[in-house]
Amino acid sequence: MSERRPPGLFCAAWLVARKDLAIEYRTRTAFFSALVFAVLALTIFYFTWDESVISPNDRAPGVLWVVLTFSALLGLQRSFGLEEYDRGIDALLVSPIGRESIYLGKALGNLLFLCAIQVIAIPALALFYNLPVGRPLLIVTGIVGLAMIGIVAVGTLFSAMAVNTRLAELLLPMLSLPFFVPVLMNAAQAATKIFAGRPVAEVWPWLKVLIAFDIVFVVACTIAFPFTLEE
Amino acid sequence: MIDTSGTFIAGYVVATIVYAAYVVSLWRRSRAVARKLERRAK
Amino acid sequence: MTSVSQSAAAASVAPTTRPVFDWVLGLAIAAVAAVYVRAIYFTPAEALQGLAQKIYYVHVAAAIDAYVAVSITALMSLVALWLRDQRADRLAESSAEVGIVFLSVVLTTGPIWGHKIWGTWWAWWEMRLTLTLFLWFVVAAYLVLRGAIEDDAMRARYSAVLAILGALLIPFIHLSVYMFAARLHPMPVVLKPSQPSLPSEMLTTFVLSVCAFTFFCAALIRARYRYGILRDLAASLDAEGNAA
Repeated sequence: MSERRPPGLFCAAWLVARKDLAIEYRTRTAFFSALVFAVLALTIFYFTWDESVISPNDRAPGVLWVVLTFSALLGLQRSFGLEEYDRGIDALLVSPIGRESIYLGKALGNLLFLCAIQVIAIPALALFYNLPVGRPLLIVTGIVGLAMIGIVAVGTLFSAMAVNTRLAELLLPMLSLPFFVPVLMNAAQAATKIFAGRPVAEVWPWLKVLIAFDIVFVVACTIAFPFTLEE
Repeated sequence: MIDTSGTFIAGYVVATIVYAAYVVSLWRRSRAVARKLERRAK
Repeated sequence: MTSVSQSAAAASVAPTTRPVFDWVLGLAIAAVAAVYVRAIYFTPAEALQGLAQKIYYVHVAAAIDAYVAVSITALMSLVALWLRDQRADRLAESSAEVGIVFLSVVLTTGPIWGHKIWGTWWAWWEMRLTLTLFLWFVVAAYLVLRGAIEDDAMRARYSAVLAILGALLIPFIHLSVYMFAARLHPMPVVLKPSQPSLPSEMLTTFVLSVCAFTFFCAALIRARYRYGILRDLAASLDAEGNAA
């Protein structure tokens, strides 16, 4: 590739994302472990509640978010973890792309990773829990997408930080989960209403908060990311 | 009127325990560091 | 590293020039004790909630001071990140530690009081309590993060980033909990633990308790800051010793 100028912000980000996804595609370990977790969780949650007390239909929203959160954490763990080997992060820092692109690229890679999980997990959820397939499910998928952006934005930053500390596996959830709370609260309530057949207009206030969170934290984490790298 | 004397005593006791525990922890930590610095001075 | 050796020499000559525990803290503790006495013996019980309402004097003062302490952490983190100031970082750390103590008091006295008033130990629709819970998690994460990093500069940078992002997070949590609570549970009008009608004696006790606990909070932060100086001094001497 004979490029005269270094790639722009989003081009560079896409290159970083592509690299991460290519590495993941070769081994697929994180993908499969997240997938296995998702499917197992779906089945276990089904059996832990008395069917006559709470219908599977009512349980489904809750299960959806638990599965999303924890498969996200599994994916995020590995996000900067894979740079540990051979100090891959140095190669990224030396290359002529901005620090922000590294962050956006990693975040994008994580987002696509999560999407790949959800592409299987959401239909599995609909299958096991007898959800009506139609417009509500589609809207909820959109809500999941919005939630994923927020989760991935903070999670990627904290993954970058946690990997440099002694307690990486403890710190990533500990740092991230408080930040997931507004995302999950609003997304879950909106999704529950949609599943219950309410119109989108009714859940719009929650979606507004979710979108605001996404915008604020994608920007904030992009700005904060260079501080997590060595001078 | 709710009879709640037990509650209010419990509340004050618990709060006092939390504060006292912190003060004690700070005291023990500063003693340890002071001892460490004294040893270095020797 | 002559300045370090000089200060080390000074410290070795007089290691207690700035004692961690001194009369200021003692005075603050006495002030708190005095408020206890006044609240317990010299303030009437409230009509509707009975004696349990007296927890209010400890609970609300702790909440106010906790939020102030945590705000100091956020502000000092900004300063520390921007100016690379070690003292600001140390103040942020001290304030966070004291802050989590006061947050813990809020989270323990809250349910004790609430159990009698609401009939449940915890109330997710009680916005301030729920917000305090999440704040506790964020501060705990801050302290654990600090404990997990050995390099001073990285520790200051990382914890400052977390503190600033945490400060951004709080309004979102507040809004989210509000939207959650408003839907679920209209605020109980009759028994509102936060604002009992306060006749003058109770108001005075309340003001005194806020003053005493704030003094206590400031004294604790000051003591913790001094401990931080000593601890950093010991650590730099260790590093010097290892390098030598």
